[in-house]
Amino acid sequence: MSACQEYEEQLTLHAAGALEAPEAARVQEHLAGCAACRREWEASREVLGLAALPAPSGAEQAVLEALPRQAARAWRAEQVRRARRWRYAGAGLAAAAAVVLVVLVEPGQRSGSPETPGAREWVAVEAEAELGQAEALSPLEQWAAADPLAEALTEAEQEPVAEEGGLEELEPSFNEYEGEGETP
Amino acid sequence: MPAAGFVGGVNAVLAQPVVMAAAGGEAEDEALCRAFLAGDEGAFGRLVERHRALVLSLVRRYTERPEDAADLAQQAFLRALEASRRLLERWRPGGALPFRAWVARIALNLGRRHLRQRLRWRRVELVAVEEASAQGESAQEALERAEQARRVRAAVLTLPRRQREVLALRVDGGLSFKDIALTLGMTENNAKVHFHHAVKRLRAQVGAGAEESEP
Repeated sequence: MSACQEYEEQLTLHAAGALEAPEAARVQEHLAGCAACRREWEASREVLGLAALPAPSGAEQAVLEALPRQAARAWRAEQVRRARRWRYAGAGLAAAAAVVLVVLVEPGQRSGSPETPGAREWVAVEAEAELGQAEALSPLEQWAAADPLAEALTEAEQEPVAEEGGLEELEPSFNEYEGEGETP
Repeated sequence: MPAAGFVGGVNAVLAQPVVMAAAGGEAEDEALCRAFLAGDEGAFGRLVERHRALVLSLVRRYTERPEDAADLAQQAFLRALEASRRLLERWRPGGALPFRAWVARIALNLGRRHLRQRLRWRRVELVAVEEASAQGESAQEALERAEQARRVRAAVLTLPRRQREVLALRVDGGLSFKDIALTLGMTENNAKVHFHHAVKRLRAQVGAGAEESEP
């Protein structure tokens, strides 16, 4: 004999201790008189007990204690690395702009064309300005459009694991954070 | 309220209850984020303290070694902080920063990725044997129980994504279904349905496994 259909989900939630007191009392009362539902409830309790992880070890406790300090230290280290990368990128950009200027200005000077004095310089400066603007706007546009959580949840993985049915179907997109949950 | 009996999450053991989601909690998280980004060195540590039990309880299911759990938890906090910084840089008409939901979600995601890289559950099995033995069971019973637990925990990791996430947030994190719904961006009823299906599926898998192993 199977459990009463109208109690099915409630029994699972009760097994997880997730029902509010009045609802739990109602289910408990039903369990007292229904052996099939009692078996269902006990089976769910059993499987949830098996699914639970063992108590944390001493090493895991130590990890917990150290985490705030280590996370703050890692954040600071990351900021230093990032600042260094920006400095290098800035220096590289300046060097590239200087090369562009030299390349564009030099031929004009060598040919000595009198009709366009400074024209190439102006073009070069314009090009540099556009480049600078593009460099400045691109991150801004990205920043304005980006989901703040998207990058944090982005995965760079690949290869599906054949024996993990549940993991295989996990798409790496997390944009549904804002969306409604789907039914199973 | 988390169930007392089976919930083996860090929060149940470390006497450090998971802070439930509430407008006040989110506002406090946001204040700590802002303070840290404005130069208050200790604010990030306090933010981590508020949510470390939850985050570690979520990542340990996917890891074998405490160092890996520490690494994943740390990454989760750094990513959540970075995402928070991006959000705080913008003009927002209203609503608090959902830091806890974000860090939990990121932790689940990092755990899954870690698992893909290295599938190992030996530690869980060994600890389960020790625990069962301590309760006065015979060695044979302890081994059978450990084998069952190993099978169920392995089955948890093969659940469809939403079912696994809901189950982990409930069983490992000890969150209420309201908080689970907030964390995963679904309705509370949906979260309950996912949980119910997850338990049904685990029972079916474990039942099938037990039948196969019988002589």
